[in-house]
Amino acid sequence: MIRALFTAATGMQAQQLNLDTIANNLANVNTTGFKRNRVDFQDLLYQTLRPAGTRMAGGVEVPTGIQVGHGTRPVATQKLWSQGNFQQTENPLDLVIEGDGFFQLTRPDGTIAYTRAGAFKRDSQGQVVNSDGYVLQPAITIPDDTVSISIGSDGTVSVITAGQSTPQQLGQIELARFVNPAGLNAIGKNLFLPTAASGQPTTGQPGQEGFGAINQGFLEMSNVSVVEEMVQMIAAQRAFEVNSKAIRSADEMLSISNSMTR
Amino acid sequence: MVSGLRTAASAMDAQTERLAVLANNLANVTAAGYKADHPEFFQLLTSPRAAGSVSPTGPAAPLPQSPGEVQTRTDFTPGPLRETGNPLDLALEGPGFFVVRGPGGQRLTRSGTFTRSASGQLATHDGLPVVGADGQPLTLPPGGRIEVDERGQVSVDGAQIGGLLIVEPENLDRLQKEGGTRFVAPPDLPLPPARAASVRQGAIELSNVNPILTLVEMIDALRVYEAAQRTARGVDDTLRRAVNEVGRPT
Repeated sequence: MIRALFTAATGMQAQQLNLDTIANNLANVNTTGFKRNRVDFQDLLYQTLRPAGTRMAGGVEVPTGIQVGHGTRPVATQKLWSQGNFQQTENPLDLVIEGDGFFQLTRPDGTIAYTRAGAFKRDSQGQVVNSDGYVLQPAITIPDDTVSISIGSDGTVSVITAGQSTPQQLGQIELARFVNPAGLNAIGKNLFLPTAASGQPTTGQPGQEGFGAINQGFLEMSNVSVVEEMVQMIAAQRAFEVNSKAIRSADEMLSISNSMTR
Repeated sequence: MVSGLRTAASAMDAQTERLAVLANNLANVTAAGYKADHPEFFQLLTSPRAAGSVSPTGPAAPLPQSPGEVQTRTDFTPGPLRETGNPLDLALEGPGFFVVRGPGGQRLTRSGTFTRSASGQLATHDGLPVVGADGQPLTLPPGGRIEVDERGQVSVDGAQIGGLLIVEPENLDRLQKEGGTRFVAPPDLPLPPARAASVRQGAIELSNVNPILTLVEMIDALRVYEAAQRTARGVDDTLRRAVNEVGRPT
């Protein structure tokens, strides 16, 4: 059968995955700390009908060969880690990382997950937790009679309790950083786990050695740009369409050859 | 007579191959670093029959061992760059290729969407390590900030750990595609270091396929195919008359 049919089908499949990814980006346009995804494609194997530089009879060397490709395939989806916009919330436990780094959270199974979403709360014991109740590391417990909480750009948490006039230091938030954050494994809930591709985390103080600084009272919004995604969506849709045209052409060719004999 | 049929059939075969090449370009319209193939035609110089009255060029050479008369030429014009902000997305500006180490030897690519492999090496997404200027794969430390300057020098937290090997083959026409947006260089092709290429960190080179021109060419392929089919039917009609009507007593 005609190769072009199957080649174009791989193109349509690829664009479908592309559109799925774009739809997920758009769905998360208001998700705190969300980082948009991108699909990377590669071409598929080639059939070399005649290699370039083949010597033909008479010593003539053909300068270019014949290679027919078999389409495309998605090879990776990866996160793009550009900074999202900041949104002021005035909430003392809403934190934003200005620059590189992740907050560290303990999951119920004891493993550490990483997040950029800094919308923290206090649980019933006064611990600083995220919306799912995962405890921020290093753990910080805020006393019950706290009047005000202040978190410095270096992550130092201090509180003023009832009847006191001087702030009391409770601890310091540490951040983690990866050599290749694009290789992190997204597990949903705004959380990421390290993989071999991301490398192991290095932890450190906010604002030092390349770690981002912490700002209190702000949230990092999704870095999805609606306009950019729309443009990508149009491009994906048209690429889908152009591949369907190739299928139609191949189909028409088959129909022409079918009508050769009467 | 029958050679007319065969000529028409070979024209149809060639258009089928041409469509396959064009469909492959369209399928790879979003593959980073993809270079479009252009189908080109060469005329068969000799007739399938022995030399003689048909061939004005002297003794007949054997036919090429290929089904069609189409050949492919890869278009190496640069694709547009797109900013991604990822530290391991590298784009080349100017002529040149990154070198990766595949199971069958070194491969060239302009698709610079790299990642860190399980063993800590800078690698393609399908796991082939990227070769450094010293001929060895570049190993990335587990942490730190990676910076790649425009000459391809890689540094982590300001300390240089090595350079990328960027080569510029002397004859681009001799490169063969392999899949994975990579090229194979024949062993005797010199690969000197690139002179005019510069690396852009945080960007990727998009496919250089022009969908509009490809669509137009696809329409052309279809219509030439149709014309060749009509020719075949014309020859068939002539044959039918020769067989059935010539010599029939009136």
